[in-house]
Amino acid sequence: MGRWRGLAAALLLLAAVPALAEPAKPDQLVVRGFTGPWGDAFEATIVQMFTDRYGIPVVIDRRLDPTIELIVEAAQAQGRPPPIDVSISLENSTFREAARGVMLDLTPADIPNLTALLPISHPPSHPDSWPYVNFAVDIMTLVYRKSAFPGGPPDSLDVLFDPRFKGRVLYGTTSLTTIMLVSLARGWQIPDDMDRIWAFIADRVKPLDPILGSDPEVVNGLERDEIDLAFTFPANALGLDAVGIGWTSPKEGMFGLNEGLWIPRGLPEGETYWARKFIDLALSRPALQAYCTRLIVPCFRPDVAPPPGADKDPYFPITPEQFARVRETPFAAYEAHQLDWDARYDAIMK
Amino acid sequence: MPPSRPAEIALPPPAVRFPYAPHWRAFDLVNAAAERLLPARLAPAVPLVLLLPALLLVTLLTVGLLLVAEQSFHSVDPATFLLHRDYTWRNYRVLLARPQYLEFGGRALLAAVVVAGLCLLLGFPYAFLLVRTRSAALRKALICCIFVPFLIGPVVRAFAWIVVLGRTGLVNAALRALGLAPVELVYNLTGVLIGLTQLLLPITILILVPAITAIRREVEDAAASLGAHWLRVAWTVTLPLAAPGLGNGFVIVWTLAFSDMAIPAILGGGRADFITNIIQRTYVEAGDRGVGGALCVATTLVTLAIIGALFLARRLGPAGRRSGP
Repeated sequence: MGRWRGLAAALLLLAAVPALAEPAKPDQLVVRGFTGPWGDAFEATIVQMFTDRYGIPVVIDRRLDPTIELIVEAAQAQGRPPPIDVSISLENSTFREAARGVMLDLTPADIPNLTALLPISHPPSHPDSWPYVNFAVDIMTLVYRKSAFPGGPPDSLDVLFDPRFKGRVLYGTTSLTTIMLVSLARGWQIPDDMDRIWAFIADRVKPLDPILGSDPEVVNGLERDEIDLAFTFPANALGLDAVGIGWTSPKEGMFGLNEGLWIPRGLPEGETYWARKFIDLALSRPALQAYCTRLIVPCFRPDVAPPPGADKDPYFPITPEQFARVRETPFAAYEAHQLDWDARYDAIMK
Repeated sequence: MPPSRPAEIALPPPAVRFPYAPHWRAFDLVNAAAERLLPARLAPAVPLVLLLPALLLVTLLTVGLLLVAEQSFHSVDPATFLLHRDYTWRNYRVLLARPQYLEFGGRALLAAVVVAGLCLLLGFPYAFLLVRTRSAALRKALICCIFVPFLIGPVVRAFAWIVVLGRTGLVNAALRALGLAPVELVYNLTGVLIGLTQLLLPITILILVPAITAIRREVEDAAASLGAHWLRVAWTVTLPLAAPGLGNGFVIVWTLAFSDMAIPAILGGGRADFITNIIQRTYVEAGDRGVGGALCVATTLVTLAIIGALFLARRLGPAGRRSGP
């Protein structure tokens, strides 16, 4: 009897070791998140799942990526813990932050779900490490007002340069999306064909007198009948079906901007542990299924089913052939020339 | 016999007794403590002591600006997006090589002049009525109307203007109802001017009220009694006496309009960016603290130069000469 009791005690102790090895749970985890529909979806799915499973409240820091970059960098330079534990960012930001060296390397040993993702999730600039992990892609495509196209949805990006829509089209406030749009529409390459792209912007885009803005202006403009067209994320048009807004996949293809997760260096050991737990849960099948279904974005986990109706959605890539039509955003070239390109864009458009 | 004492006048008992209130005792204690901490001989230092919090704030602000200026002499390494250690004039050469910065700055400068002028034009009659009205109810209503906008943030107000001025907004709906063509009042410089004027009008009024209060009503009455029409009184008596307040109001409103970022970003639609929007994009979105810092320094120096010139012009002008050194 004593032998069995001893064995039971040993087994219980073995089961308790992981829990004993776990650091104490922090009072909260601070996660930098997006605003708008992305932020709402993130909070309602991944964040809620984490809190439900581990009982740790999550506070969302909605400051912009560029703001957080500077704050994290300053904190690390001063030897202070950074103000956030995890960040979800678009790849044009994660690329820059990885180059700055502010990120903690992720490893499959700490985040097992890294190995369940498609190869496309690996940062292309760091083939031997994981400073961040891409887990979903935001597709930029053609969002339009249905009443402006009584014959059916437009099938080409050329409508964005149609003088018929002078003053009724929205372009990005910085150069990136316009450059991407023109290169996609004309089949030109970034940065090799920049002279042709600039000439096109001056000759065909500027005369349209477009409104220049970002996501809030897109939503506001579509909702208030200020614009008929935009090259943007379909998430900006979620819920605008009532005012006759739709999106479509143009024949020239679409651009994708990856969403990634990363942990800043310099966190206390306990928070680092739980930050890794957060990312591991975010990359799990239930979490990605919920997030990507709600936001209607493709994710990089092959066992996640497409959202209902996505197979009928012309923009949503499911098959490898459809993914091949999604061009990757040239963030490496853009980050190297951002100031010059934005200044040239300002000189032409503003 | 001892002298008789004069009859004591019987005083009536006091109608109300005034016990020494507790808060008076508290003030006595505070006074006693103050006299121990700050004896009378140190009284001339009191204004300096009271200035210390403001000096601390200004010092912190100046240190921040100096740090920004220091960053403007470092360029960003394109491989790491961090600032180089070496000092360089490169960022200022970039500024000079891009004429569009001058254009954005010039636009902001002129827009701020227009906004300041509009605010003074609309604010002066309002402030004059607020000061001169004999109706307490009207004065209170006018004061409430000034302070209510402060309860709403500028970003919310900007989006509200889109609802009012937009293509399907109230103004264009009214124009369509009258059979007129709609006008573009938002997502352009017009929208920015309207938004900034509405934002800064309450501040203008608050600056003008003390200036008008200082003008004695009797002076205006004297001019009127000599046969001057009210317009002539306003032009020859009221406005010249209010000139210092108008000048101060112009400078403050101009500075606030020139340095605003939210209204041009939201109501300009990218077509009416100010230099502040460029600074925000360069500093924050592009992450180039070098060029961003150079833009900050250049803008600050230009602003200080303009304000200095305005004050100098006022000092050397007729009103300045009359008021003496």
